Amino acid sequence: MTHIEYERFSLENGLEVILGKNSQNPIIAVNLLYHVGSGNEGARKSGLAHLFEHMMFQGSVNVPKGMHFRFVQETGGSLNANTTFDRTVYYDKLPATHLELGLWLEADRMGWFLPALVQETLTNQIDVVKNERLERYDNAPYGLGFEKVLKLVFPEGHPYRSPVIGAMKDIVSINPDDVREFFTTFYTPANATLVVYGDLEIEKTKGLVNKYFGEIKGAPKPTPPAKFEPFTLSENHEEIYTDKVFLPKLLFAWPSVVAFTREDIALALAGDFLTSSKNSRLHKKFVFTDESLQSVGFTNYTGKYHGMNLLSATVKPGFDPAEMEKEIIDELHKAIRSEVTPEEMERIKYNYKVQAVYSLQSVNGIASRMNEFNFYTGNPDQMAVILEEIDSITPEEMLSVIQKYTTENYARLLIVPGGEA
Amino acid sequence: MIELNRAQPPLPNAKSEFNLPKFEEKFLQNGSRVIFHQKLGLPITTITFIVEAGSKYDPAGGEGLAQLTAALLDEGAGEFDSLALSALLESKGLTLRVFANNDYFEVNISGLSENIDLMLKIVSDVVYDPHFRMEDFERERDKIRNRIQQMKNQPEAMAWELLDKIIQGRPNCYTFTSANEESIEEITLSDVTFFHAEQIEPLKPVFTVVTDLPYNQVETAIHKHFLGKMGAHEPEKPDTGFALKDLRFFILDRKGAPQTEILGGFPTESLRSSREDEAFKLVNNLYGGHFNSRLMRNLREEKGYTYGVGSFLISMKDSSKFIISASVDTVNTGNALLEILKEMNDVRKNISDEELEFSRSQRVRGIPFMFETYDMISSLLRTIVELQLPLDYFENSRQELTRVTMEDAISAANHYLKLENLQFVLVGDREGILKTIPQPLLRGVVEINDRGKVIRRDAGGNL
Repeated sequence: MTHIEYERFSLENGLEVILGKNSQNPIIAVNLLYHVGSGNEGARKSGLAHLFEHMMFQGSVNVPKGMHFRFVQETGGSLNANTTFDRTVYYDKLPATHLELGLWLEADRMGWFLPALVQETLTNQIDVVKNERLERYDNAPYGLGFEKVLKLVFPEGHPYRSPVIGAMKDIVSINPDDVREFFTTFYTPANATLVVYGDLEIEKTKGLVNKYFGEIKGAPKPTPPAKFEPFTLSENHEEIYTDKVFLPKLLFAWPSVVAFTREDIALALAGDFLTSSKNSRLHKKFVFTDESLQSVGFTNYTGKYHGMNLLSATVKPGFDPAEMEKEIIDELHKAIRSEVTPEEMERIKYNYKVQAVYSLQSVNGIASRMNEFNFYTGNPDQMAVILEEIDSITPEEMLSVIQKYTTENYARLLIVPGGEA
Repeated sequence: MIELNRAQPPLPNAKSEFNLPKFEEKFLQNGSRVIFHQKLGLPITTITFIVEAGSKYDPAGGEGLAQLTAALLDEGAGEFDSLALSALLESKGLTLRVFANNDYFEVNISGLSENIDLMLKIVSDVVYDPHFRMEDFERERDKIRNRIQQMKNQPEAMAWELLDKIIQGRPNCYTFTSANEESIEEITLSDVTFFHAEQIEPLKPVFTVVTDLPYNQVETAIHKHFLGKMGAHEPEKPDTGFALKDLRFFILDRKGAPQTEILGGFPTESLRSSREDEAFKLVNNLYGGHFNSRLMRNLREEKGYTYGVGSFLISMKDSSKFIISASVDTVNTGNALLEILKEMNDVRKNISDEELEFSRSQRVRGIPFMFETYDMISSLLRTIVELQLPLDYFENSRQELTRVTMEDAISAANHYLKLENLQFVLVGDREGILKTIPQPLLRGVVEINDRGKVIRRDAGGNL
């Protein structure tokens, strides 16, 4: 049921194209993934990949500033973009009758962005991104926690050491030359994958993709970031910082694995085993029974080059965060040494199967997933493979993977109440 | 290769046609309504149980009672204690949500259709056979107690809490009355069981169901688990009146904050699908309802004061709220407020044909997108029940939107956009904010504390 039919081909300029037909609703999704994220910034200013995503809405030769939104929204459709460490995705969800509009819009900024670049729009978007950073990070409770943890886990020079949003001093210093160089290096057809999914005719769509993207000039693929070998921390990296919050929060982090490997999938199951439901080990112990934590969560953030296990715990009043740190780590080790019942394991796995069915409802959800899977694994239909992997992971394997990636030294950030806004 | 003329956007290859699905209204043996829609394609079912027992029935001093009752219902019911119920839901991949909004108390469950019988049993157990154990009550109350304190450090949440208190006279988080520091200590387990026995159990519920299954299968399962349990009463009508106040700016000081959370609004009449209501929705859309709206173009794309600004309508059964929201860097607080007011004043006087047509096109052609997923349709069915709309509301709305004239739009803008009655909450650095507010507006500045109590009425004159 979760299997998705698709056709894949490449244009002469190197653009990879994946098409899939789904006529449940008269809607199509144009989903364009550029193989560049903040991890590719290297020695450039941090935040450039994300700011660049904003600039892609500031106009191209045939689509003036603001008009991309206008053209799509006028059809009743929607659009947006997002940037991660590894990639940047742009999508347009449109009535199926407006497929060409979506292709025209995306092709125009892929091929004819630079001549429309002006200082005025860059200055404007620097102000917008400054405010985005203030709103989501600097002025939000615990907002700087993730950024600080990255620095505790990833070594100097690692592509994931800086947050995607970038440092304020870097954001404000980005100039048109930075933007030009970034576009020329990374926004090439050969460094992108276009997924078009929904109520369409495959053969006709092939022709349309070629019509709009075919004449965009090709360029070599950019060099990927320097390879970092898998690593562990040689000692605990600890930091305490004061924030305007009510409850203390502990963030533990360990270096982990790259995305969509078997170990990554086992770590995803570990999140459910440890914290995601009332019966999960850490939640049951600390939130339900002892009532010493307000919340607890375990997530494996994975990417193309590495991953990071993050265990977060918000400590209730009356409990000492230092004591809780010890208790949480002890309980984690206890969980790893415990027996996982077949019912417990089946419960964790079944949830994934149901979520896989749910994920088939929205055409852009499917298109995004295909593009993401293709980027990380080379297979747009990877969900079926993942479900098979999940089926074959035993409790012993899951526990040994958790042990492997959580029992070495860790990074620990303690956020304590008391700071000013 | 022949170069393509890219100067003009390609035209659609055909006229977009989408016949909106027709929802069905059914009645159970006890007379309860079921708003039903069969959507084929995936084996998914989502069911909502609705009674009009929301937070508007919280007693004075017991704010948050409906919220706490909702939090307790899935902490053990029928033969399952809290952990066993959670394990059962997880083992079948079911999602259960129990919540109270301002008007209604709702239990929503989603999962694979093969589990429909179990899904309805769980909802029935949760609504009619909750355990209400003291240890569960204490645990859930403690979580809410901590959330109240945590919220004080969240500028956006504080702004919402305070704005509702100011415009509606009671604390309200988004669309439900939330507990406060005093009320959470006053509410007892007896209050919860009494609220359940008096406000929820006796009422005649309405069900909404979106599924790939035929109706008769759904009805059989509902009858099996609900007949003999459902009440027959209609809810009492609480006082839902509201009063308008003069333009004011309420500052909650957050010393050193680099940004100001701006939240403005006023209460207004309940909106349905009359021509005037649809005209106002179009006006809101072009004022602050989308990326190319006047507010976004001005405050974000021209001046860079904010990452995002928007206006929207929150519709409830007997009233609505008009809201404007933005986070702006402190130094631009005053300028942002001026632009928000200026744009509102302008939109009451002048709307271009192009703006109106764009707004109409976006709303009318956006309707089919609202029917894409099971959850989206479930949400539409709930809206029909909550706002007491006709089953063909969305089709009516589409037709009325196409009929709205420029005269209708200007008239709606003047009727609904009560600039003079806007109440703003500004959560940020008081000193920094006051430096930016222009002299004429300083008269309306009031400083409040985090419980909404006025600290200084002449806050603007103290610089």
